[in-house]
Amino acid sequence: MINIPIIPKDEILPGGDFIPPPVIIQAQQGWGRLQLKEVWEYRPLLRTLVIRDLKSRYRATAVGPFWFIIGPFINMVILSLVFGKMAQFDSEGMPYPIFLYSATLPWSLFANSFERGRGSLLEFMSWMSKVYIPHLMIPLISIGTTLVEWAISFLILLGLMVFYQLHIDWSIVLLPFYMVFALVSALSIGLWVAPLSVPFRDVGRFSSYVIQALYFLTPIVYSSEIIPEEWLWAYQLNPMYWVVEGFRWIFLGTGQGPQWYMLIPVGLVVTLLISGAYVFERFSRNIVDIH
Amino acid sequence: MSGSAEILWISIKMSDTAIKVEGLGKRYRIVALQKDNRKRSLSGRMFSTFDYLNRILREPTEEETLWALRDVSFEVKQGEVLGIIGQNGAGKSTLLKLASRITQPTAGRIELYGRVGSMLEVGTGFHPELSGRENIYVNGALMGMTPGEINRKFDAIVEFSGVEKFLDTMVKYYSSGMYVRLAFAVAAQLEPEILIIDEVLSVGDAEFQKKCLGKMDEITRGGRTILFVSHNMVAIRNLCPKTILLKNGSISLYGETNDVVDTYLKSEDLNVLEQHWDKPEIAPGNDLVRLHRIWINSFSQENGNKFTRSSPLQVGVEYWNLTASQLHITIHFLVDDKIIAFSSGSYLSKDWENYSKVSGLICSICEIPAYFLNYTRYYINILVIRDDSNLILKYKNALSFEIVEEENRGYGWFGKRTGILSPDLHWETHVINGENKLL
Repeated sequence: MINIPIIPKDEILPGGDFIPPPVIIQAQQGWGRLQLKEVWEYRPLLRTLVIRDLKSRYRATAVGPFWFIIGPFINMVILSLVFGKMAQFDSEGMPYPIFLYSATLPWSLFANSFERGRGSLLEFMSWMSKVYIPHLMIPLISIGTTLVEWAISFLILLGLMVFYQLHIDWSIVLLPFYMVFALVSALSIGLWVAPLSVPFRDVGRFSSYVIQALYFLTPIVYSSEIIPEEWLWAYQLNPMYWVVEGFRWIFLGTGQGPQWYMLIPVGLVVTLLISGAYVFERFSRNIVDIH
Repeated sequence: MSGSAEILWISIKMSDTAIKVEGLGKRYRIVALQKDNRKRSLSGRMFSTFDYLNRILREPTEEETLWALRDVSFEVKQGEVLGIIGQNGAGKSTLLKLASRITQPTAGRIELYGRVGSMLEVGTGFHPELSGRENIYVNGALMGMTPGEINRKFDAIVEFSGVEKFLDTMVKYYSSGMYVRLAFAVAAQLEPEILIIDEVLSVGDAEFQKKCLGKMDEITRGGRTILFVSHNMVAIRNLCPKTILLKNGSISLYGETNDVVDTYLKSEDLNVLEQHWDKPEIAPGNDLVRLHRIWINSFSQENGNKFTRSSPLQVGVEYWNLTASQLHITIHFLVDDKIIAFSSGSYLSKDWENYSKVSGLICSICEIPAYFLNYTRYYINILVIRDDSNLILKYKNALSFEIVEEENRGYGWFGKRTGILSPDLHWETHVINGENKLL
């Protein structure tokens, strides 16, 4: 064993910084590593860029972040008039506006994260061709921005709870789980779609219609009680079925809480997430050249 | 395991290498342009939709690929400045892109010992709608730094850049000088171990350039490493002890800067120095006039085909005057292909009346004095004018040449001089009152 003197940290570099191990850049064949450690090291970037993204989004708007309250609110009013008042949809004994909003809220977390995530590579392309960012970081930045905006629109739900004098019980502890489930679902398909939609813009366009179809296949504007019994198993494969039902279960006391059957969509999402991460890594590797 | 970082550091220190490049290659797929749709049948047009899919998915054929960089190997020691020169398309930017991990190599490898800060374009990573302050944090984060680390260096960045008054202004309102100052300040002050710089000295004023050069010197003395790409040979000669000359994606020469730069300056270039047509029938022109030969040359041959400010130039136009009409030649000297720097006409020739209406082969020569043009590329358009005012022939981009720098100008100014011309005008300066006091 050779005795190596330990150098005080301050002598390592004039700035006192720690020298990272050498970075090896070489061609990767086939399926590469995910470099999650590097993504973790770049987490200050995540915070800075999310803030940057939010700031540049509010620039030159009169009411700024209030748009994230106004937008969903208008949406809720319109849908309540169409489905609640005109079409007289059943709302499980709840006032239709809160019945609807408790479902559109988690849905918007999923749909906005997906939409933003799938376009993120194109959005960041001009940067990616000039500076290095771990590519997996890019959809995370988009999702981070969506999450902050979503938190603002969450206030509407709290407002409605107060307005309709509803109470929250212990089931609220499962809220983070449902939020993560919605986000991870969005991320898992976003990872598949984002790199493929750079050379093939068609993929991105097509996926928007798939999401639109999924919106009506999820019990959002209608109650899950009207789903025919023999088709329920198929509906319940959709992760967003559980998220939407879970939100109603937490905030309204209706809907459906967690069940063992839920493990199937959870497993599905985890599989999509892991495979998606590799697909993303593989196809975004030289994406700057394609563009 | 607490000593692992130190052990690693010692091994780096012993090898002393900052950048090691081995057999590096980058192959690009050239995406063929869409074929002309008009020449296709209806069915061909319908199936052309799927051509794109087919082109992307199958392996590219030999003609569809281009090795932008091939089999490049070199090593840079810590504290070294390595210059990289070569013509546009030689692979300089590809090399820098690979080293800053923007795209992956097709073959070979690069080892980087330390954090890399790159300035591939001015203001890389700046967001136009964020303030200077916010952009400093974004750029720092892009180099993988924490907000705490950036805070510690914030004041130094601001001071170096000299934009403190505009810190809270959106950078889209910055002048190009302020932009580059802030960008360089961020890249240099955040102290990456390896700094990659692509053409920064072409912008900014003399004072700031001096500051940048000083800073770069300081950076290297602190043991950090710089890869420096420039078209400015004077800056390369002054900053880099060693230089790589890239040509068609490979290292054509690697060695002492002066040797490499001399070789580069003598090598081929984009100049069009002569055109001639043996028969009037194939020459540009019409019934009244045909060109025969156009050329430009320099009185000094010591720099090969390179033109310098210190020697006068001659532009010659030989043409056939077919109908003995009154003709004269006007030459437009353009920069950037669009802006006319100046023009001059052959009616200024001595005893012009004697030649203006003679039919046959005529030669007009225009002399451009030394110390008149700027360090830039000029294009020449040749115009033939009849009866003093009617344009009868315009031959665009007839010739092209570039004025290159051959000498160190002695004071700390490496960029182009301002303006499309740079005449050394007559100046006189004298002292009115030698006392060191106000009048």
